Amino acid sequence: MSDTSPQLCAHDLYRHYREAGGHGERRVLEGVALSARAGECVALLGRSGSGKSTLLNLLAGIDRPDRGWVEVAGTRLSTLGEPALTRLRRRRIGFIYQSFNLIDELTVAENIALPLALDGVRARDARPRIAAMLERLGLGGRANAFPDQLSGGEQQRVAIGRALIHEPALILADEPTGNLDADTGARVLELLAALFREHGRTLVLVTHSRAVAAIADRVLTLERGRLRADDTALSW
Amino acid sequence: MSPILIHLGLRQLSRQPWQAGLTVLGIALGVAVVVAVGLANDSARRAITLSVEQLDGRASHRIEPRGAGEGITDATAARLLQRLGPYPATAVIEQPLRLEGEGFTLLGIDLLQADALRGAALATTPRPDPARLVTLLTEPGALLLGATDARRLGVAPGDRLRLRHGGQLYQAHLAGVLDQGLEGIALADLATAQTLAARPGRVDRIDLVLPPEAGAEIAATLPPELQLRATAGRGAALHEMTRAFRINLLAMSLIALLVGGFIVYSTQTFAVVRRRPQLGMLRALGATRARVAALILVETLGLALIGAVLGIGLGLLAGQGLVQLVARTIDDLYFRLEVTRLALDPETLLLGVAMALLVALGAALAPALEAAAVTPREAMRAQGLERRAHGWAGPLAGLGGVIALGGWLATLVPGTSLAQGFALLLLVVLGSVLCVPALLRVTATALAEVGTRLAAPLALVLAARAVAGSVARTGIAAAALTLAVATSVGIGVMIESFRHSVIDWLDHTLEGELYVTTDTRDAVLPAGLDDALGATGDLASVIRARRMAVTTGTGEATLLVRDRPAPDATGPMLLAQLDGDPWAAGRILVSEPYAHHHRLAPGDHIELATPVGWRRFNLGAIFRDYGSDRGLLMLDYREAHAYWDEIGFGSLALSLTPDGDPQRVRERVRTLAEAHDRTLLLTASGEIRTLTLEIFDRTFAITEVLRLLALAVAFVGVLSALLALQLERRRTHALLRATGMSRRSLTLTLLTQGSILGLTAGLLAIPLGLVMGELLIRIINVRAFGWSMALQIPASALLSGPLLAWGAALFAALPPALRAGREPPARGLRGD
Repeated sequence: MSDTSPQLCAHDLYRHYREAGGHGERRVLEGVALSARAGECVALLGRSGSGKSTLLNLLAGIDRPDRGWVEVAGTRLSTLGEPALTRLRRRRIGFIYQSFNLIDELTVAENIALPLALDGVRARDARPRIAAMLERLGLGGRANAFPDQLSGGEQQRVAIGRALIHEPALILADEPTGNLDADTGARVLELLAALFREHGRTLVLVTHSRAVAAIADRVLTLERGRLRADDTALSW
Repeated sequence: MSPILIHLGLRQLSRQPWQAGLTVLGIALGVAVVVAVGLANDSARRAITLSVEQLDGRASHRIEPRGAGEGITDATAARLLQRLGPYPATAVIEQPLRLEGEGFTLLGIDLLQADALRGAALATTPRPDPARLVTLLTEPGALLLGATDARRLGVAPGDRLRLRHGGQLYQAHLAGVLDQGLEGIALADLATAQTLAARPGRVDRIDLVLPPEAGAEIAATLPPELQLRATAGRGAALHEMTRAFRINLLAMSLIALLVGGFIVYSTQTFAVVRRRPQLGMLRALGATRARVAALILVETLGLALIGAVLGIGLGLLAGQGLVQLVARTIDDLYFRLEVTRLALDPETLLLGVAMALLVALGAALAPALEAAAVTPREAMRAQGLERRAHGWAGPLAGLGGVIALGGWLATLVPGTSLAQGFALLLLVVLGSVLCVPALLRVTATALAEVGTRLAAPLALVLAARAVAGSVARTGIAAAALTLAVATSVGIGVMIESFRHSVIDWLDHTLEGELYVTTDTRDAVLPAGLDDALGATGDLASVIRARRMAVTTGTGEATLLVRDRPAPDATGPMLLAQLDGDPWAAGRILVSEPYAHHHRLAPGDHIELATPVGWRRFNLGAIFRDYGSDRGLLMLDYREAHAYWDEIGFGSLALSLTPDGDPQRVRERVRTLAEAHDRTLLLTASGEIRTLTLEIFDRTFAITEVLRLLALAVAFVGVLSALLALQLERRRTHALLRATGMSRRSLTLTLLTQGSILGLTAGLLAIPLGLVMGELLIRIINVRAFGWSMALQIPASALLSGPLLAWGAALFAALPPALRAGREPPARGLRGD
């Protein structure tokens, strides 16, 4: 059952970048506001370069806005120093990237275990959770494989496992199927939706594909640095 | 090379200035060491040539005492000069001394013969004017100095000069300055020089200019105690004397260049990895493999040229300090040498630059071929090289092992060539170093495995995996570090073994507690001094010794004539001997270097020119001696007395009785000195021992400098590799930060990575260093100098190796680690 309190709240976010060469400014986000409840999936649609990834980085606390604020699970990110922000990312946020971004030197199991290891969870305690996650991801036999031995779909499944293993309040997915073919992408998306629902987390999904956005409760479009509700919003 | 490709290369370099900078720095440091050592060697060689030219002038021959004797009496010299008639000739006094605190040679000659004999030194404008010549001839203590020396000392004609030798102070004054010639020489008239050198009534030799056909005739008319020698070989002999020392320095400097080559490999490999998509695109657009390889090689060549130019500048700066270290060592070990002017042969410069370019191109060959070998599709993936590295590290180690083992086995084959010795040492070292990447990978993989099983901190596991996974860069950096640290360990082992052997040698050789010598070179002690001292109840024994130059069947040599020692004193110092008493009549002993250079063994024969003609001796024993790398002959005093009438003795070793009073002996020596109106020096054996070890330590000071330089170059190599790795793994680091790894943990991970690299290199450097030390002792020292020594393994060298490597790697890891920790994750994830 979904919680009705907002797990994610972004208010009046501005982010500008100086143009290369130092001439002028590129205004990427211009007063973006966004909130999402626990158990809700919000899709952010937008063209390439519309600022989707920038917004995602601000929501994850790995970049800071020029103006405005972000709250995750009731904690305002701008009030946190670097160590606290790092801790919050480690415990409350899961991130899925378009290019998987697995650590080449770690095995499948170790990649999934990474957030737990970083949080000091003992290997003994982490092991059953990882085994269960591997089974759920359909990677039971690949625990000791390295990323370069996996297909794209398998790599993205590992990335999903890594984003969910520490049971974060907020999952941010940046074009999670962007590097996959249509069939594989569909299967990965299905898995993501299923897992997200099982765990009852908040999912913010960035995509430029309406088909992918179809799994969301709400669809927002990012255009010229501003966010607006999409007319074709769907709910499950 | 197409202009577009050159433009592309330049763009790449300007976008990665640190990478270009490290390549330049690696080469610059290597060239700097070679040039600095070249400058020191060439300056010393030039100073030797100059001093020989100045001291011998135009003289083609010299008449000098045959071995023993206190020079030539004035009366004999006058008779000889008269007989020499038409040939230009002068009596000469030559005395090393300190003038105003600096090392000079006092040269006393007949100034009226100066033009004919010392053209190079004196027949320059302006010549001493007649008035100055009168001053030189008539005023006691009048000296001439070269303008450069006078300027350096800050003296002008008329100024007083203080001279010191043999513990005595002499007063002189500057009568004039010569604008050219005379470096390190104080020129005086013969009579003045006799006074200042404390050799009244005697001269050292007679220099003369003879036509070749007159030599035999003049030699035949000489009294038996004198001999005629050509001067032509003197300079060559002095150069030969220091040759091995200079070759050793050059070989050491090449190690720094080799380490520089590793840096070039490391940075250029990284450049290829980073540019693979671009290179792949070029290949896709139709660039041939050769053109892609040429692009990398031309870039490297350009950077190496810049590095070489910088290195020359750095080397010239560093060489100024090194020159004095080399000169002091030659001064300590071989003969008096003062280097006042720097010289660098163009050949040395060209050799340094050519070797640097060759090393750089050789090092860049692998990355260039790697760039050329990839298919356009494959080139789009940056991990290609790493995958290959996993493939080549094993076979490379196998090849290295074979080369090292082959090189080591070849050292077991007897030989005498020093160059071959260095070549074999290089094979062993290079072969071993080729094994380092594979060994590093095995170590790091095992560490990661154990870390995972023991649930070790994530930083350790990640760092170990990163090191194992990037062996193309970390492996080569570790190899460079291993090479530098092993060199340091090897030389440390050699020096410690050498020092230990010298101490052991001193303990056995310094038989007396006190030594009496004269204040003047080659002079003998007053006759009867041995009996007068022996008569005192404080002494248990008095051992007489005399060192003199002799002619053997194979050339010139130094003969030490001495009372035979107690058997237990020299017994342990005898390395090989005939059955029976090696000191028996008709037998002669030779030092280890002499036996080595002349390939002699006990039982062989040696012929000596004595005043009573050629005499043949049987080689009775070979003894250990570190006093001279040219070698020494040793003969029983009584035996020698049969051939040299006036043998005299130059030193006395005094052993005290158990209740003997050294102070009383000192007083007695002082009284006897006054009675003979001579200056006698009394030195305790402890002082000689201390002084010898001081000279020993000074000799190896230059080695310490070169060790540190090699380590500095290796440090740059590790820094380069770790910076490359950090840049390459930027995205991974950003991801770790985004996933929740703290800055501190990330920094710690990268420092752990540096530590794994450093400690592995340091631990591998221990066995390699020990092998290097053993080869330096068994092959290089024996072939260069003829000295053998017992291997000593100092605990400090073993401990300092890993610590040094760890410290260097940790320090080198610090900048990339801090940089990675500071970088905002968002930027790393964007990949800009």
